[in-house]
Amino acid sequence: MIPHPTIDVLSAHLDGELPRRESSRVAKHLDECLRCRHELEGIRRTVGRLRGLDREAPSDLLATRVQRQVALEAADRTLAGRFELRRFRLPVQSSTLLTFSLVFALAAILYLFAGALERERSATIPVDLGSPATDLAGGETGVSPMPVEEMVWDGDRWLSESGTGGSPHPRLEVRRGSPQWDELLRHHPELASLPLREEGVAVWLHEGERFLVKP
Amino acid sequence: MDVVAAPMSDQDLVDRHRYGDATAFEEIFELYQGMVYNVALRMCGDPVEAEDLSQEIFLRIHRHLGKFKARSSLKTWIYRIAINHCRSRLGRRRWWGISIERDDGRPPEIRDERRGPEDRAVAEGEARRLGLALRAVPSPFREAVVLRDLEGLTYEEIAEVLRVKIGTVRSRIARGRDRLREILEEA
Repeated sequence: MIPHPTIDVLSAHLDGELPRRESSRVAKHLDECLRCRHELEGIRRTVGRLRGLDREAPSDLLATRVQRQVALEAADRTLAGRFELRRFRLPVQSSTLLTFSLVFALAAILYLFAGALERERSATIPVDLGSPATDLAGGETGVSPMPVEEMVWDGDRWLSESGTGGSPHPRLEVRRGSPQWDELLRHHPELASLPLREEGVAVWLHEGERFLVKP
Repeated sequence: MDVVAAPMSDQDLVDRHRYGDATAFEEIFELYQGMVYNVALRMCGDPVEAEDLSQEIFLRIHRHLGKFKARSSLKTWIYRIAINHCRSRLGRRRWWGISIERDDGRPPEIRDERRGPEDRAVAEGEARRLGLALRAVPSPFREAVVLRDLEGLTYEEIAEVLRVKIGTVRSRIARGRDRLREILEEA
């Protein structure tokens, strides 16, 4: 006699889920084995009771509940979609902001650059020495005329006649007859009496500005 | 000449849903509500909870229907969602210690409702007895038995739903039935 089949095999045999060959072998065994027939009968009864159960129907409320939930989810998704759209728009707004910031920064740079240029340009122009009317009037406005002192080249550096200062070389050069020279003369007519020297005459103005008057 | 409408295939329903046809989901609900409810009922044993589970299962179906790839039939796919959802929900319940399954390996005693003062007037039906017995069968075996003996799926379909081998399906069905028989005999 073949060995007793396991409950897995008996159960599958009952369901007709065994290969034909195996199924016929089990059937043959069952013909001869009361114990396995009894076992199979127990399984058959249990399965019969289960299959005899009526199918239950859900209440009508289930459809309503599902419909409502689906509608709510759809509404949520629409809201989420709008949010997504806003989220998508955000970079566009950011780029606008960025563009404005860049334009503003560029304008600021240009302004600063122009200011620097202006300052540079004004640095090359002789110092505004004040109105000749007031300065030369000698105190009409309460301001003393600026002292002008000729500096002497001692072969190494320029020295004031009073010997109080010195400089390797005056920073500004003014040529006689140039507009700058005319401007200087307007403020300081005494400069007209400066001697003509080929190497130029150094002048110390107001203890700060030194320039060299070239022929 | 009579015009016979061709039966709507799973893929047609899914495609209609994908293109925004709300009636497609309604048709799916009509077709499968009984199936989903009965699986949920047999898995949890409580009609009220089964309705809650069914509602959640259909919401899951609605959410994921657009991603259905038709690698399996829609029916198998819905069974899988239903079983997985029940497993997850009931597993959570077991985590909180509400399950009636016992850990000592012995079949649990079925409470005879007729002996309770509240249910004395209520006749205990076969359905209730079997329902209680099923609840006492461990989940993996119960799933297999429900799908085979109550839903009538083939071993191959069950293997697809549970994503296990056919040998495992055979073993789970046999053990589930055996356990159920023990429980019913002891009751």
